[in-house]
Amino acid sequence: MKLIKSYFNGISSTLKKLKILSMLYVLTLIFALAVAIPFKDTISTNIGSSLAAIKLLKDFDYTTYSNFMHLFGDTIKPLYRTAFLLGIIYMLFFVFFSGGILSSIKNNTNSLSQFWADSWTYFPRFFRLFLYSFLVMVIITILVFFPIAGIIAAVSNSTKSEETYFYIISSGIIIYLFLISIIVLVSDYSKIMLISDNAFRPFRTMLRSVSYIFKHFFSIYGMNLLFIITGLALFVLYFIITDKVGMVSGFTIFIIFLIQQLFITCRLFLKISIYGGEVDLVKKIG
Amino acid sequence: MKIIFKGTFKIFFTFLFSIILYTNFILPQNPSNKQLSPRNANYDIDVKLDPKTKTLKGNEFLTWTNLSKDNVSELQFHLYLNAFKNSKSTFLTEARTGVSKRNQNLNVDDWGWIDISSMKTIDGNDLIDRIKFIHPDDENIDDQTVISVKLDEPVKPGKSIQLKIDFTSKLPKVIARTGYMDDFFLVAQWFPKLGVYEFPGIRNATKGGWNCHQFHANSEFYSDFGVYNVNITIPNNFIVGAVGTLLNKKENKDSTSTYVYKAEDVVDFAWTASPHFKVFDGKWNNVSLRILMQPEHANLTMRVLKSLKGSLKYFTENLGDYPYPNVTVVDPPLKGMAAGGMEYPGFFTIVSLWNLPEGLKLLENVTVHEFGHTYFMGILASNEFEDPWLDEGFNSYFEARTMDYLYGDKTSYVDIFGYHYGTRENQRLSYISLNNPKIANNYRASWEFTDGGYGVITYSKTATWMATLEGLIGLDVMNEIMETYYDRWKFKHPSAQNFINVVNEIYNKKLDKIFGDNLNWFFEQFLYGTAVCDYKVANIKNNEIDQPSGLYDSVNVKKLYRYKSNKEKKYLSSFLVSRMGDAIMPTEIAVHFSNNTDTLFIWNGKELNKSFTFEGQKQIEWVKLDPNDKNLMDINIFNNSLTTDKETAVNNKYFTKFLYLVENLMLSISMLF
Repeated sequence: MKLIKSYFNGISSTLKKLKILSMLYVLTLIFALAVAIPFKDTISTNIGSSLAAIKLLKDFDYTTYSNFMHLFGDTIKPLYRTAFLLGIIYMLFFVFFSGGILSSIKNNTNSLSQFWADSWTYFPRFFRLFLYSFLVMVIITILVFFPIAGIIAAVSNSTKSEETYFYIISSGIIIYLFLISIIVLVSDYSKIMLISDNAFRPFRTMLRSVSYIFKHFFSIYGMNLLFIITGLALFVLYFIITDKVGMVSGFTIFIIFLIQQLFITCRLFLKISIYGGEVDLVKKIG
Repeated sequence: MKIIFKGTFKIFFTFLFSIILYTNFILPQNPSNKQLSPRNANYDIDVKLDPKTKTLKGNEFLTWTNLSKDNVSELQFHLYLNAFKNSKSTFLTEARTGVSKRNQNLNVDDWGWIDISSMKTIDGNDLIDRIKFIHPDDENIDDQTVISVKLDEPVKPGKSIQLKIDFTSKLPKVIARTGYMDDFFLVAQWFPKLGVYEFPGIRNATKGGWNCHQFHANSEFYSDFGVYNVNITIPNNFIVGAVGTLLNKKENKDSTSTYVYKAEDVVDFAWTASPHFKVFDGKWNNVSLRILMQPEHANLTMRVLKSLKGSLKYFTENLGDYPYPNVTVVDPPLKGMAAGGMEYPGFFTIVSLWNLPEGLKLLENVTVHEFGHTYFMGILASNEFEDPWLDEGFNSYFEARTMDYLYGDKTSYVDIFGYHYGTRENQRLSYISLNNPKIANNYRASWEFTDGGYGVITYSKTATWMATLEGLIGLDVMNEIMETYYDRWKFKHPSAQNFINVVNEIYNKKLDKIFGDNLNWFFEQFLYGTAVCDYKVANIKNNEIDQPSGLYDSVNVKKLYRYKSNKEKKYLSSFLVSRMGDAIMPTEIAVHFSNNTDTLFIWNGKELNKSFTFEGQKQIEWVKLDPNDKNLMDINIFNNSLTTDKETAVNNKYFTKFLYLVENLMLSISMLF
């Protein structure tokens, strides 16, 4: 099975790119700390000298949490906005870095200087690709959810049970997620084509990648599913471990912190592996 | 002769057996088999529903007994359905202008109304021309929800009047928890219904007079007790449920059936009909339980049954016996959900959703809440127009107690994916989250919440100060208060003062005036007033007391103090407590010292700022007000304690959680492109 071989080749190729992986992790951590440190200061300033917060240590305590959000929620809300903005900037960084990641996979290098150079080289094309992908996602959102709203409105007079609404909305969400996953694949394979063909027309490349994906749909989507399952398995593993360890003392909080950061590294590892697997699959299926 | 004897014997025993069967299994039973209430407003009603026109044709035979010492020459009736007759009714005007938040976006899709076509005394005197619409609350001439009927002859004290009334009721599309939706019907507030003639001894009345308010957007109901014999005629394909007990059902020639119901010692009669109900019958002790579920919600029935049985047990053990023979629970369909969450004596509607996760206890909560109304609205029968808190607030307090007892005090409202909270917690949050906790006091009529706050103040604030009262005087004393209040005032329409008198009586008997001569100060602040409670530990100081050192003159001797070892260090430790709000509550204070000892004492809570000082070799490490969380009215729990060592573990825990959340958020967005 080509897709399984490519899946493992993607993972093994990432193991040779630990410098790039480390740099991406540090960047992720810095971005997140930019919001998390003010968050910590806010908590410390508002309730740091109160014993009430201790109830939140062993378990979730709604009274404490809700009282905190009622009294100090206004100081936390701007941090959510900042986190969202940083998320967008981080995403653009990732668009930037994807050129470097894919080049390093294609050329089998782990050089950071080459990584930066390639990132700069491909960024203008990848940025346009990002804009097209974003636009397509918006169109898909409209194309899926407007008809769903229309169907709901049309059946509302004859529908007697909320069960019907559940199935209509669930079907819509499943279709939407499937289409979005296709767009993500189109974006990935377009990037690979832009690099391998040194092409300069992202939109035309997108169209080519669409036909390529549907031509090799089962291999491409099958491997994509394998990576999605891997990601979900990691999530499950994380929840099992954190549930067992708990966050009830300074020591266990530190252990969970390490596990969380390891998990974030795994997510980055998986993202690079997806690119690695896709590059390998393109080589195998032509 | 022998044969005749045998036959007579057989007939006699058959008759006896029939009587026993009838009285034990068919006739409505209350545990004591005696008249429980004054039964001064009795209704015999024949009604026929036309499902196509959504119209009820009915005639009512009313017997009203004058319990006062007055000659009563006027009757007043509620015509509740006229609230939905036109957009200028008081109900819809209040809904439109925002007096009622819960009915703010109300749309009337199909108008409803009630007409009286005939009203005669038993002697045949026609009173139809005496009917006059009145507007006791707001002078709104477009409101037709109350009528006055002048009588030729006054009803003398202890005497009764009997009236025969023919009426037609057009049901609205489900609105404010009455009406129809497709072929589902919740027939509530549907017949001409007498107000309550109050006289000295009932609530706050100083003289006799009718208490018959217009139907307001925030208000519910108030009626006298009686026996209802109701014959409901409806097409054969419908399944019917109602207040009271089904005595008989007979099929008619015109493809209809007539259901004969009887309900004793109740303040109202409502019923429901739908061809789609799935019927589940159960039993709790001697009480028959009937649950009418929508087919798609049938798998939720056991959850309803569990909370219903749990409520019956909890209310019986902690308030008093359930006096009616049955309970009927009605599950409205999705589009008729506006009929959900409404209560009548031993009959109520719930709100459920298809495959509602078990961790979301909304279904259980509404079941417990609406069941509880049978006690506060139905049996105590307080005036829901003027004292809504006596019903909704007390019921919310008992709802929280029951839910927390049945499902855990931290999990009784929501318990899903590690996120959980209890009903009492939820009620307290609702109150403390008010932007303006002084928006209104509790003690006001439901339509007087013109600036908002009706729901939170009436339900949540009352439940929260009741829970605080429980914390102050202890659960055992609180239970005795509630049991005494229920036992003394059931079937009698109690007022606020009636309840407060019971509180003070039990308080003085059990607690020996530890918080003063009475607890009026508590009610002045939280019931009649709008006092807000917030205590704060403002600071902790541990100042080292200078030990003597150097040379000191002492009776011709110069004494030298040379040493100042750590062991001899002494501290003047103090902390300052501030009263930030205007409420005064006796408050327990726990102090923890550096030598790992604690002290606990009660402060009267009166001073705006109060400093407490300790001297010795120990330093204060932390101070905690209300360490056992008895005072739920305190709006800020974070300033109730102060520690000299900053707490870092919680900060670190939420820092790492937040960091992880942001990292995942960023990665998730970036993986899309």
